[in-house]
Amino acid sequence: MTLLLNGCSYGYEWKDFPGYNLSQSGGSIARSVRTTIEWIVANGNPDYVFIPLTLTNRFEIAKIMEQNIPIEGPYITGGHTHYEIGAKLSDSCYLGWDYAFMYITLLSAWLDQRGVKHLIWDQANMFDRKDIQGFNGMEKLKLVEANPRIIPLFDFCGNQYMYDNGGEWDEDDSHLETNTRHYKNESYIILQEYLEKYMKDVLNEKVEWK
Amino acid sequence: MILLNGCSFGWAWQSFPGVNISKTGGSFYRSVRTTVEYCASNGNPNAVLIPITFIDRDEYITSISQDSIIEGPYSVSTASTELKQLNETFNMLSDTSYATWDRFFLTLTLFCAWLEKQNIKYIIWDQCNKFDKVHLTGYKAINKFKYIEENKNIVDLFNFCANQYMYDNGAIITDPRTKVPSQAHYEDQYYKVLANYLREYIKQHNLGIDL
Repeated sequence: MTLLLNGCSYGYEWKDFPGYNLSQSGGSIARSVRTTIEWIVANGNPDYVFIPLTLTNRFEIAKIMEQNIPIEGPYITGGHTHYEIGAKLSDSCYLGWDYAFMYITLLSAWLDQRGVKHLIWDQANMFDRKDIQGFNGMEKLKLVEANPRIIPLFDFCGNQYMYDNGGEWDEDDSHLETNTRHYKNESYIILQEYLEKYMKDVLNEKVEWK
Repeated sequence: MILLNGCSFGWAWQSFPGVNISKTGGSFYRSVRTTVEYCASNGNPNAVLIPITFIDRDEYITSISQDSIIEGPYSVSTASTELKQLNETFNMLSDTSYATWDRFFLTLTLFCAWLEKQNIKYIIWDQCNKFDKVHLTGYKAINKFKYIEENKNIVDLFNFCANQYMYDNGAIITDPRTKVPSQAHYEDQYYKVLANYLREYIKQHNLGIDL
């Protein structure tokens, strides 16, 4: 059984994930979507795709003089200079959220179309509806909420769930909010068990975690 | 009901026989986003028609933004000098046009899958870019392009540009801003030329869209 995981450092920390782990530190949701597709085009369909959504304000830029490799292309992560410009271009969380909702809706449709089972969940954002109160142009959230392959975004956050259930984190992250800490590899069994139960209860599906 | 959603080149098609939510200065990402939003708000149309605008356009949310149903609080990147400059600065963070192409291919591929899952008929074509494959030479991680080439609902991007086609078939440039045929705005009457081309394409490829 081929399993594919593709998130940011929060996915990368799941060292014992029993499959291909394309997660990359500093990665954005756009990267998770983009490289999942590239990987599938290059390698064929996996049996299950897992996407832990990283922080929605992340984006990526391309530096072809620094990198030009398969799957990743010339995109680079890390460095925060461009976020200063990003902040000028968007004065609220709306853009990041709205595009996240749109891209996961589209990705889910693409994976469905190819017959690839998948599960998408928030890993670090801890979405709260009050942050988007009053915004127009967000009816697409209905499409997200109607999709059983997306764990209800306003009810579950992977990092917070690990914290609430005894997960241990890297000491260096102790100053961070519990939903943005990096948890130790051993703690990911907590997340795995949650995902396993969700897949069984909601999707009537099961994967072999080995 | 059929839905048209592009930029000013779509808006100029005033006699379009359906709902036209094209917007001047709009990006391809706006077309995708607002089409999804329109469907979520109003139900699915029978068919969606997307004339692809300049793919290096983007959209932002700033204090000058609007906030309306379907459109949300976005500003197009051409809305003001300040935004134009910011858009340029942002684009300059990359040292290549790769990201512009790749993001476009990615979004187009995903959007098509979504429309198909919704059972919405669609046709998508380049309106003004006049794409050339030479600009993709040497790029890696662009394999997703094969989905676009295989998709009969997307008019061959490298062999058809609607504005150029209208010009080549008699449209007259009255646009004071440009004399470049692929980038000029044409009067509504010349969209008959485009409509006829699309009708023939729809028929040949059995897309089932009543234009």
